[in-house]
Amino acid sequence: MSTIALHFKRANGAKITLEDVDATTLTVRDARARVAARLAESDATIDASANVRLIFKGRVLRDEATLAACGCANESVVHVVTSTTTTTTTTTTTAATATATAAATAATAIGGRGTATASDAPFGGFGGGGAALGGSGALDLMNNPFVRSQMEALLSERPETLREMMESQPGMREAMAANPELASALTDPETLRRMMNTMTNPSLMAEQMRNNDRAMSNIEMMPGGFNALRRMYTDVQAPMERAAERDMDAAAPTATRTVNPDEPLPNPWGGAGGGAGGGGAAMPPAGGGFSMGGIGGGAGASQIEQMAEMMQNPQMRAAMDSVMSNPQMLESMLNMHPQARQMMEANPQMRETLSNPEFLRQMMNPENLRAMAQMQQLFGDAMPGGGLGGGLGGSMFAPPVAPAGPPEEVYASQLSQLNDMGFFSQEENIRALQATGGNVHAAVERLLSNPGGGFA
Amino acid sequence: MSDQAVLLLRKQLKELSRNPIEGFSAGLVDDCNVFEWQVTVMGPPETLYEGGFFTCNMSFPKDYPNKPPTVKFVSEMWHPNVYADGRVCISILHSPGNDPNGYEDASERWSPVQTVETIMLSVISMLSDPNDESPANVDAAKEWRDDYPAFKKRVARCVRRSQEE
Repeated sequence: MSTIALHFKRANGAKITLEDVDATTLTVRDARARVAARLAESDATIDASANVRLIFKGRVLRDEATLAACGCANESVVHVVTSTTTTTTTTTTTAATATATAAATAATAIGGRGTATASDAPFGGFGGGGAALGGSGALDLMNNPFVRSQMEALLSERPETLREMMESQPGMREAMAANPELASALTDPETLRRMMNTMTNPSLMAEQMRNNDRAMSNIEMMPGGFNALRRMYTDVQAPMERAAERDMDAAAPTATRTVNPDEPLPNPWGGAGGGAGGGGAAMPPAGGGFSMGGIGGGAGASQIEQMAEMMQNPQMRAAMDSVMSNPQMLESMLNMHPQARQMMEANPQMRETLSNPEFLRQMMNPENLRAMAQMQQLFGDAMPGGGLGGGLGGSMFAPPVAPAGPPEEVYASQLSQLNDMGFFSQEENIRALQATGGNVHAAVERLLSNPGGGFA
Repeated sequence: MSDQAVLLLRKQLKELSRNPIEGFSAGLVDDCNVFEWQVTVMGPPETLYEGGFFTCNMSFPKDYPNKPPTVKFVSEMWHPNVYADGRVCISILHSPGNDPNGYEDASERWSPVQTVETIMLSVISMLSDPNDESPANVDAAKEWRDDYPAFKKRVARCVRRSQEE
């Protein structure tokens, strides 16, 4: 009677090997027990009684069968899946649910856009749908007590600041002048407060979103309805977008370029997480990005995840920290970028702030750094809200100093993931990750749709 | 022509059994027929399908790799891109050429470079990220969009059933 060696591979890629297996007599049940015991040795999260399942040749192996009957031969590789016990199942399910819900909200917003194209965006700006477009990211942001109190204060105490904010942007002013109704909607603190409340209440938001979708399809069904939407778009959305774009232009490319020199042309909305902070600083009274948050939301939503992923990359954060703790580097970096220089020249206040050693020292304060990183993570989560928060932050021009570095380092974790998935070409992987801004899923899609790409 | 398909499929089967990919396990329904595969997809972690073991059959046409295989879930499945009968609807499994309905680019459709591995990775990515733009199961897509809690419940039931199988 001969014995064989069997390899067992876990979902995370870890492998264990059982030597001296007598496949003709060992049943799957016994094999499972042995595997569970072995797993328990190396992984504290698994105990020997954990429910382990073996999958081989496309089948979940039955307890009663012997390994030989299942077709296991010498050096076969069997998949192992550890099912969590009941208690842990509930927790993981909740966690998964939370993320899934977030994703779904964002995706629904995108889906809505898909069907009604850009036409539903105009309402986004002032229908309270701004919140809807922002999805759960905005919700998170709005639930941050600090942001919320700032908003409240701004809204209740200084409505004129808000107006100033709007009017300080030439493009926005034009749009408002051309459309007085829009102006009143955008500067009415009551409307804005309602918008904010909507944002903080998920069920209200979902309701708003549904109403929005329904209204949109109703309008489209009406004869001439689509044209009305179109008009709406050209009258309201386009000028506002143009205005926002103009303001962002200075900030966004700088930010994006620092992140990665090979990245595709910056998307003014996509860059918002990084760029809006800069934009916010460049605009005289803090928070010019406010209304843009709502509008940009629709387009930005698709990149929320990418951004969040990027921000969560520890290497990225480390690089960011190191850059931030070096004032010279920061200054030279800012000087290197024509846009940044332009921005500073156009805005002496900002230059002053930047060259103020006191301020830089404050920035170096680890406490502040941590807070900033936290804020940034928040922005990463709440891209559309990024404009809003960036503005509020006022001095939050940290995003322009986002990390530079070779793509191998920036995308290290994503690269190893891709490698695990069987994409072995480092070059291809980097290119795909760069094109997708570090989103592994998107990169995989890209690699797969690219004939000959990746698979050796 | 058929020889080429047999060779190619055998090669892939060998490669996959020697060096399995995480997330799915592939074998033949009947060891004599290399055109019918049985694949068990492990529900991708951090998705609603986590913990499930979903069996699907892959049927390859005789003129593979010029024509795509069909992938059909045998286990109960509730997903916007899986038909009620279990057939999987992803663009790379659609016959090559231009979409008669004009939805998909020719480049998104079947191409002979796709392998079992790339197909299954697409299926797994489909599980984690449904595409509701051209749903195969309209009811599931509608529920996914409009009544997410109900959708979740239904998926959880599928996961439980798949574990009991």
